[in-house]
Amino acid sequence: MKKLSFIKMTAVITAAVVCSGCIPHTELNEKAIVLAVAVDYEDEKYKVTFQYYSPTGIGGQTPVDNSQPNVLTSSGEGENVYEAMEEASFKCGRKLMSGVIQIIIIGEEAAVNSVDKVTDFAESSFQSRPDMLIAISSGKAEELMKVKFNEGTVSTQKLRFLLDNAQANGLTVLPSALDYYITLETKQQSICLPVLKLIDDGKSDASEDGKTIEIDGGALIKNGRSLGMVSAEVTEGIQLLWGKTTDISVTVQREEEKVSIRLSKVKVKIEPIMEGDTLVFKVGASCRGEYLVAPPHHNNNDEMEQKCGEQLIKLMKTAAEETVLKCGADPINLEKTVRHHDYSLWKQIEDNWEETLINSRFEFDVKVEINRLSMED
Amino acid sequence: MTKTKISTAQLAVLLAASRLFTEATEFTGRSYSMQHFTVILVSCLILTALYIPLIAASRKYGDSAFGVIASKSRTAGFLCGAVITVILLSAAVSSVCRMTFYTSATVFSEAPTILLAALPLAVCGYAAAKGIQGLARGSVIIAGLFIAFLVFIGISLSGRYDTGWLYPAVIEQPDLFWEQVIRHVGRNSELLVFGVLSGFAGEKADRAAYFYIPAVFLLSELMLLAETLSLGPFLGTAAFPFFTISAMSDIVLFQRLDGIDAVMWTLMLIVRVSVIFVCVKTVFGRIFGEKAANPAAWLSALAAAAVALTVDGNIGLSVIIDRALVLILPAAGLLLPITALIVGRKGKREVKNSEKA
Repeated sequence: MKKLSFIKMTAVITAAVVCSGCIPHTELNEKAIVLAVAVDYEDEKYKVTFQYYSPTGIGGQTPVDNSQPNVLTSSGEGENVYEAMEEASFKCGRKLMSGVIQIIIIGEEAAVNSVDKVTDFAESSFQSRPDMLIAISSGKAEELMKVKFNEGTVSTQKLRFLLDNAQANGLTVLPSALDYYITLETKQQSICLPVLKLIDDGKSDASEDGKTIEIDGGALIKNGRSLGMVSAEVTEGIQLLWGKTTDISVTVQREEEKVSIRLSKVKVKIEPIMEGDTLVFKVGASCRGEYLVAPPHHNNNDEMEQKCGEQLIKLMKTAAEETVLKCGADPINLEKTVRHHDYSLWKQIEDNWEETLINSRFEFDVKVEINRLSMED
Repeated sequence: MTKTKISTAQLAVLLAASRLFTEATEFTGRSYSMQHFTVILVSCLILTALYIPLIAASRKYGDSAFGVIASKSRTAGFLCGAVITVILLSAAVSSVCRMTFYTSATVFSEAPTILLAALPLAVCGYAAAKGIQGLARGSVIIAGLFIAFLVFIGISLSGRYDTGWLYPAVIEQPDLFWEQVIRHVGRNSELLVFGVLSGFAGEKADRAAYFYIPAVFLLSELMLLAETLSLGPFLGTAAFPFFTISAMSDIVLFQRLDGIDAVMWTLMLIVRVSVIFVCVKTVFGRIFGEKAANPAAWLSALAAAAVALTVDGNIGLSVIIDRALVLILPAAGLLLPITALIVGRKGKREVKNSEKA
């Protein structure tokens, strides 16, 4: 019995060792581990530039050399994004591995043409991370891909930190690829994507060539294509209405001085109500505040709370006016809100959704509660 | 009567694992609709009704429905055995094709489909040849891992759930509703599995159904809830919704869980297909004697492998088989215990007559 078991075990181990070479595979060093992809559209052709992990390619001495950007770039052109990716892959001589793509940057023109056609390659690839980020570039995306940051293990990390930090502070909307795929299944196929801008004044110490990247508002997407850029104020408002902002700082004028207040635990609730033929969105928000600088001794807290509330209302109102009421876009996903709150109402208005949105009204009610103590006290 | 080999809990776990695999690899006909929650509820109620005759036969004779038929009438046993074997092996081929399609499209894109189909089938053949006891013990471990996997996904996605995707609607499209219910009920090959294997769980095998149906109902609803809260309307277009939410999970130790998702469903496939092979083995054993049992298990593995490899794990074949089985499976699940009750009564009468004579 023991002899038989021994023979069986030997057979299994031998098969495992001998047959492992029979399975077609690509070694890790033969792959281009793509970290970021930039897609441009010009003369009815797509141009793809991607950054891939390669520590030794840029002179790194160790597998992960923190003093180096650790990435190389490769570009390709084609009738569609797949073809362009393939050409870029041929040029770098490696097989693409898209499982760790952190960000897709879409050129301004490509976004106007169609964001769907760009993201399609990622949506149909099951390797891709559904939580990678999508951003639009002001100008050509290719230029942004050439910026290689020294900070972080790889160059892309810095870009991700930049966007994550801006979102955490309520400064920008930051939808993931999955958020975008979900958007494509809604009536308006609408979302707001962050816009990245190249700063090429040679003064930045973030990269070797003095270039850096900044966030510059957002791009409003409707029916899967960009309608144009919106200001940072609008993106802040969208982020608030979307319910993704939990912390935000505001600066309000009090007598002759400006007082900065940190608003935290921001909660926004939207309730849709039909009043006659008009759909009214009652937006209720609440948050707590904390002075970032010492308030004056004779400080009137009620007045400051009111001023903070007005600031938040201004942000949300601007966002609603510039996107929903002006363009009939739905970057806040009001469709979801209406369906969730009143399904019968949704069934009544779904066929006329865009018109209903344009003719809708927003009412705001914000409650801010500020601690009387400042951080300095 | 069959000798008791496994507990009712083990039988319940075998049935649940087999059913959940089918549930999770339903790649077609999905949509973002609250109706699906009702579909699961109604189909579980219908399923409970379908189990009543099987439970009645099991309680009356203390053996499985097929066991009763095979012991009372060789001809009926042979016919029933042939029908059960064909239906269950078709379901096994469908499952293997689904899994091959899933794994080759996701994590093992470079692996040849021949290996993705042949390797699990070889494991299943071996598991079936080893017998139901080992398989039952193994499936309890796999079920434990599966529950842990669900808990991991549940925790890691908790920050991403959006309850806004839920809306108050029970039945949105009545025509589609009944079509979905029929399709849901029609994929329960476990009806036949219970009709063949319940004898191994002894006289109280009916308890397995009492545990299994609520467990499958609860887990199916929870999985659908996790998918709906994470994916919203994308649920209708995502080819593999559970894989997508696994890829979104971000757990410190494992990072994304999509690789583990593929491993989990491969294990569940092994349980499901092994259970089917054990059924075929039992059918052959009851008709042709115990000596025919093990070769039958290997032969069924070979037959399933031959079909799956011929079509190269084509998902199209799986869709055709599932469509064909939609009405056949529940009908067979209903006819099997009825036949057992008729044959059993006839057998009793014959015994009484012979005693009188």
